[in-house]
Order: sequence, then structure tokens, then C-alpha cells
Amino acid sequence: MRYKFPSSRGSSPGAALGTGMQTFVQHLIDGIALGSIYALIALGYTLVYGILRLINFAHGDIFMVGAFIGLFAAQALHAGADPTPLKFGLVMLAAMGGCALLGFLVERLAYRPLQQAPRINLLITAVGVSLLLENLGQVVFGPNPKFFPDLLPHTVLFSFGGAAVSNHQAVVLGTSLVLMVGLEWLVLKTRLGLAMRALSHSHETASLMGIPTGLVIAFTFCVGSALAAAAGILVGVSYPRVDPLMGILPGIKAFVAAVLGGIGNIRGAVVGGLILGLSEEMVSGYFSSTYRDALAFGILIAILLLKPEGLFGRNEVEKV
Amino acid sequence: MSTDILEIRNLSASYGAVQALHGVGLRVPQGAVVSLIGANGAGKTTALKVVSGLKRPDSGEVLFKGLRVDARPAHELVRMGLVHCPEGRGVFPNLTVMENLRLGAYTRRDKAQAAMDLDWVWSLFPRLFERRRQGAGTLSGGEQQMLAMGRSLMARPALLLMDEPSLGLAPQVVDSIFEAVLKINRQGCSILLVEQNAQRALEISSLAWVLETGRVLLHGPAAEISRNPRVREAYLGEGA
Ligand SMILES: Nc1ncnc2c1ncn2[C@@H]1O[C@H](COP(=O)(O)OP(=O)(O)OP(=O)(O)O)[C@@H](O)[C@H]1O
Ligand SMILES: [Mg+2]
Repeated sequence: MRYKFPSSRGSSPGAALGTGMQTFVQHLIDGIALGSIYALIALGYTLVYGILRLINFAHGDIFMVGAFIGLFAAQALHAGADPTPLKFGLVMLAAMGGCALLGFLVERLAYRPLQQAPRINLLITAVGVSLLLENLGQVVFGPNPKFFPDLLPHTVLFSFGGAAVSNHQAVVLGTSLVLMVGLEWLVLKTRLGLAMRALSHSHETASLMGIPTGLVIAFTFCVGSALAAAAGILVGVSYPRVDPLMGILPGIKAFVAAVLGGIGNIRGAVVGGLILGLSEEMVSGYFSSTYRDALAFGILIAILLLKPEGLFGRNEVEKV
Repeated sequence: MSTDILEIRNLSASYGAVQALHGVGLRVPQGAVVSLIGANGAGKTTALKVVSGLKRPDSGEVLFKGLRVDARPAHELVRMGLVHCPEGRGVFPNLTVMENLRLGAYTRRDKAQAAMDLDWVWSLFPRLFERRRQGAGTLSGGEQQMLAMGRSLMARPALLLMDEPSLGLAPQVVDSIFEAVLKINRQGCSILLVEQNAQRALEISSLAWVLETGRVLLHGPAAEISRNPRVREAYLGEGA
């Protein structure tokens, strides 16, 4: 659990100088950028949960693999020495594609064989897959943190009254927005999305509609994993190091974000991610960054006590 | 050789250690309405689930349009025209009426034909049209049954399996449901109807099968079955 998002590339000028208002606006910008990364990861938890009622504990580790695929792709393209937006796009696609495949394999090899088994078996398997990816990551990638090449050299895009928006933050926000709108379109406007929503109610009835449920489940894993990979690249862009355990803490926090929004609810995951990112940023800005990680767990405990269905969740009886 | 759209031979199925069907046989002639009746727990739903591919049988055969289909998954059978309208309606409460109907047509590519079928569903159940943008979970029980039937029609079934469509509905609604079943049949769709309301089911069927604890007790022309003293006593509410 040693991973924290370390200090980002480039300093935040507003945070250093500023009056109260500037500092606040800067924290707001930083918090939204951090929050949209949590939101991207949270979407994967919520998609898979919505369809399988499974908390995919390996999801944070898929995020980690995404960051590493991005690292290798960036090295292959010499993107660190000669960064271009095209290379950034290619790195992003490589990571998303690679993780979509990984998500597909995890579902096929680990979860699918347990379709008929009691739910608890699935949950334990998810923990097992998570441990497997973390340890495999240490063997394959080495246990030490690696430097993530600077895909987009840091510049301040614009600043107002001392608060600054960096190109990294703009890319984080822009990419997240595009992916979230794309996901919303997929789920609400396409035939496949309709099938996903049918499965979220009942697999059996969905199959009576002629929906190949196995394929839809596999597809859902691919989409969730690709979103996690995108988050992995965005983290790599903003913070310079990646390591095989880097998925643990963001994974847990994104899970908290998903629960906060109401797990299974797509907009809930986005809102939950933003709330968590903003509150972490505010807490570490105004109090101390030592409390930042505790905050997520505090929020989790508070939701479980006060509003277990989350902000947007339906109050369903759930037996996980 | 046969003109049966569905034939079940010697079908057995179980849930863990509980055997629900013991060598059941049944057939549905092309274009017919056939009733499957029996007490609670007789195995009616299980039989439909095996036929529609939701449940694997332990042994026996299911032939649809003359082809062995008992190893095929449900979603493939829908494509072949075998559609199951499940017990308890099974509408998707999280989706609108329109989205439920679109799911019924999930396997179809023939947009123009599907649009015509949608019109036919609206004419069959005008109340669904009024409520097309409404969440299916907010519909009354009768409307949900209409939606479930309409959704099945959107798949263009050659054979429709219906599991207790009249369950829990008020008498006038039951009338309109049975009327719709007849109209659907007149369009050329064969129907295998499971009903608690044996009287009504037998009235509109040509053949009937009676299940008792997973075995076929009786079968034959529906008129004969409804005259059978054992059936009258057990299912038609008449003391012998
Ligand atoms: N999921 C299940 N698990 C275990 N046993 C089951 C399951 N479903 C049905 N059974 C058993 O199988 C037998 C047949 O059940 P089935 O649902 O087919 O009866 P049915 O004729 O449809 O009854 P009803 O009129 O009440 O709907 C019953 O003894 C039932 O308890
Ligand atoms: Mg039943």
C-alpha cells in the first residue's frame, strides 16, 4: 500500500503563491483532474457489478497493467525523447486495447467457469486474480518503480488570477470526458448497450430475447478494463512513476467512488469519482496529505452506515 | 414426415437431487394451440425451460421444426423462431416499454418487417402504445403481461411458449389476454400454453397434456381432456 499519487509533474503555481481564492480554485482544478481519473476506474467496477453483481477486485491491477503497457508502448515509440500528440494517442490505444484483451481473458479464464458457483466463490476468485496480477507484475516488470516517459511535456495552458490549468490536466479532463460521454452513448443509445441493461436485470430473461449473454459479459469486461487502462495512462502522464502495486490504492479508492455514487450506476460512478478527488485534494491542501488516504475509507464507512445504496443507487437487497 | 413444429421425447430434467421431469413426451402440431396443465410443482415451467434452452435436460430429445435442439442455448433458439414468454412476465422494469419491445426484436435485421410487427403489437395492445415511454416497472400486472406478449411477438415466433399468462390478473384482463392468444395463433404462430386456468386454456386448445409430478398423466384432444372426470375433479374445480 505504499503507492500514493506522488507529486505531479510541474508545480502548481497557484498553490505556491496565492491568496485564499487562488489556492481554492487551484485545488478545485487539481481535484477535478484527480477525480476524473478515479471516475474512469470507478466506471469499470460499476459496469461489471451492474452485470455480474461482482466486485472485480482485480480491477485496480488492470489499471496498473494499463500503465505498464503504456510505458512499453511509449518506449517502443521513443515517445519520451520525441513526444508528439500522435504518440500519446497510440500509447493510449495500445494500453486500452491490451487491457481490453486482459479483461476478456480474466473473465473467460477466471470468472466464466464459476458462472453456476455460489457468489462467494467468485468474490474470492477476484481477490485471487488481483494477487496474481500484482505478483506477476513484480516478476515480469520488476518490483521497483519505473519512470513513465513524459508523453506531453508540461506546459501551463492558461492561468487566471494565479490558478493554472496545465496541459496535463486538460488532457486528463478532455480524455475522461470523451470516454465518459462515449460510454453513456454506448449504454443508452446502442443495441449492445440495451443488451447490457437487459443483463443488469436478468441474464435468463436477456437470453430469452436472443441476446448472447456470454458475449455481452465479455464485452463489458473489455470496456471496463479499457477505461482503467486509459486512467493508467492519464496517471502516467500526470505523475512520473509506475510500479506493480500502483493499482492497489487507486483501485480501492475508485471502488469507494463507485459505492459512493451507487454501485451499478454509471453517472453515480462519475459523480462519486469527482467528489472523492475533490475532497482528497481539499483535505490535503487545507489540512494535511496524511489524512488524504484515510478520507476515502472514512467516506466508505460513512456511506455504508448512512446510505448503503449510495447517492444514486436503488435500494436493492443485495447478496454479494 | 411430421407436421409437428415441436416434439419432446422422453424428457427428464432435475434440479440437483430433485428430479422435476420423468420421461415426458409431448407434441405441438404446426399451427396449433396446445395446453400443458397440471398442479403446482408438476413440472410445467421446467418443461418450457428445457424446450427454450434455459435448462439442460438429463436425457431425452427436443425437436423443433424437425431438428434436435436440446443442446442449443436459448439465444440461438430465439433466432430459429422458438420464443419463450416466461412465468411472471419477466419484463425489464429498468427499461421503458419501447426498449422492452426493441429487446424482443433483438435478433432481427429486417427493420421494415419489425416496424410492421410493432404496429401489430400496438393494435393488439393499444394501452402499450399510450405507455411506450413509461418505465415497464410502473405498469400494472395486466399491462406487464401485454408487454411480455408483445415483446415475444417482436421476435416473430414460429412457436410461442407461454407460461401462465393469466396468473394473478382480473377476469376482464384475463379475457383480453386469451383473446390476444387466439389472435396471435390466427397469424400462424403455434402456441404451447401453460395455464393454471385449465378451463380457459382447454377451450382454446386443440390438444392438451396433463402433467402430474413430472410425468404425463393424460393427453389427447382438449375437448376429451376437459370431459375427463379426473381432470374435472383435479383442475376444473368439480368434486366427483
Ligand atoms: N430452481 C429450482 N431449484 C430446485 N428445485 C426446483 C427449481 N425450480 C423448480 N424446482 C422444483 O421442480 C419441480 C417442478 O417445478 P416447476 O416450476 O416446473 O413446476 P410448475 O408446474 O411450473 O409449477 P407452478 O404451477 O407452481 O408454476 C417442483 O418440485 C419444484 O420445487
Ligand atoms: Mg410454473
